[in-house]
Amino acid sequence: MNFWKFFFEKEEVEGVAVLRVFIGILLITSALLMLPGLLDYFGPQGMLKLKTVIATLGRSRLNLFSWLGDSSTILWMIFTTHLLASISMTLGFSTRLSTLIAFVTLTSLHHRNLLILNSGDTALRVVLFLLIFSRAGDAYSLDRILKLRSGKVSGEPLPQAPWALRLIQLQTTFIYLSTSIHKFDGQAWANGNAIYYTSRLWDFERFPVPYLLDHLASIHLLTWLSLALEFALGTLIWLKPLRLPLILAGICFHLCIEYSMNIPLFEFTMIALLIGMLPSQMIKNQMSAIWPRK
Amino acid sequence: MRVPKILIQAFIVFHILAITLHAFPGTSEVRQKLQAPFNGYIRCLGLWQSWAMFSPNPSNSNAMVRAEILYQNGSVQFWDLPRMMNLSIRDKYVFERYRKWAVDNIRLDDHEVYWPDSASFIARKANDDPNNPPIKVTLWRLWKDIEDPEIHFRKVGFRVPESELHRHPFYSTSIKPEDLR
Repeated sequence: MNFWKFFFEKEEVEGVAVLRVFIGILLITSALLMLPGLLDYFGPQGMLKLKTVIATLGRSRLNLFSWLGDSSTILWMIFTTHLLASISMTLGFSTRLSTLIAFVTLTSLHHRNLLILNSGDTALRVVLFLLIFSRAGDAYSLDRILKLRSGKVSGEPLPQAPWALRLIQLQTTFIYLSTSIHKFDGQAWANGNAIYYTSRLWDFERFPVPYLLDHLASIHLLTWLSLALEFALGTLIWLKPLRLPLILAGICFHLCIEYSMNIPLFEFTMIALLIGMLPSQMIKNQMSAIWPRK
Repeated sequence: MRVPKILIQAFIVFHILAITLHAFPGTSEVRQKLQAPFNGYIRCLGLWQSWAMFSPNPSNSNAMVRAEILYQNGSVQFWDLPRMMNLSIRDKYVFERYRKWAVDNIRLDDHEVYWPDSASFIARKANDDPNNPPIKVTLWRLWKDIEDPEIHFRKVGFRVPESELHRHPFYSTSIKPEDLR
């Protein structure tokens, strides 16, 4: 395939628009989950002082706290702005600006305290950056509705060059490929015992999985299947005939982890990113039943 | 405003190179030299990433952090920093970040730069009587190894009594009045 055709051959914008909505919902959920501990996580009397952050990370990181100051008022201002921008992005109102503001505020919060972040936070942040450059507001958005009402556009959204969505898709496959390469070095993944250990970590327990996690043979099988699936999601997913079955398998895989383990929002974030791997035309066809065509 | 295609193409190549060099495992000298031109972009914009989840091997021990707080009147209180297994499903979503902070980060020796802030944060949290403030905080790590399944298979949900946990104090500090503000 022509390298640049992959990034610039125009396609429907509905795929990236749906991804925007999912990422937006996850951002809002993540922000609301932070709310009860907000002052502990990021406040001036919280678990980490700003001067320690600056001493360890330097001043060159995108961090509004470094520039605006470290007070509860500034924290509430940044957090409220982030929440409003995330809601606005989800609804598709001033989409690009909302996404930019959501990214700057999210990254500032993350750079204020790295000690509380998990892989779900990292995935949301790096994808949000790329979403700024996409045409995510061209469909299923208030921007679209307002333009239709004012007569600035008519008919269905026009296809656009999907280069930003392609970068998001590459990022998604990098996550799977990178984690499987990390695991290739692990003895517990090679001998099939890895899931024995992950399922016996008390802090990650959620709902019980009797039998499957209580026999070494099934534990070995689950360990190797997980590793194979992660590697396939990082590589084989680019082959058209395998894409849909792998996405479905990946969604089932993440739902199973969500059922059995306590890893807040990471599984849902990966499910959203897998939906972003679906062909845009397919998403458009499915969405046409619930969203007016024009 | 239309951005020239050549600029977008340059950005695509730059971004893919930057992410490829930073998202995959490896710390060779060549790799570090190749990464160097992209470090500013990656770090400044928060595009740093590591996907070493449960790898190269999952942890083979259950760990926790406990704070021992000595008050002015000589009394001592122990605080277990949030233990997920004692929380409801809803609270596990809400309070997981406290576990991340305590168990995955401040417990570790290579995070000692964060211990003074953590101790004074705990002292402020425990300072509920102005006439009897905390004067010393000691942080303990407690853990129990998960037994090798090939030698001694333990079923899911198996627990050990508290007395069987290994324990080790890893940081202790006197609390000054300014730490409580």
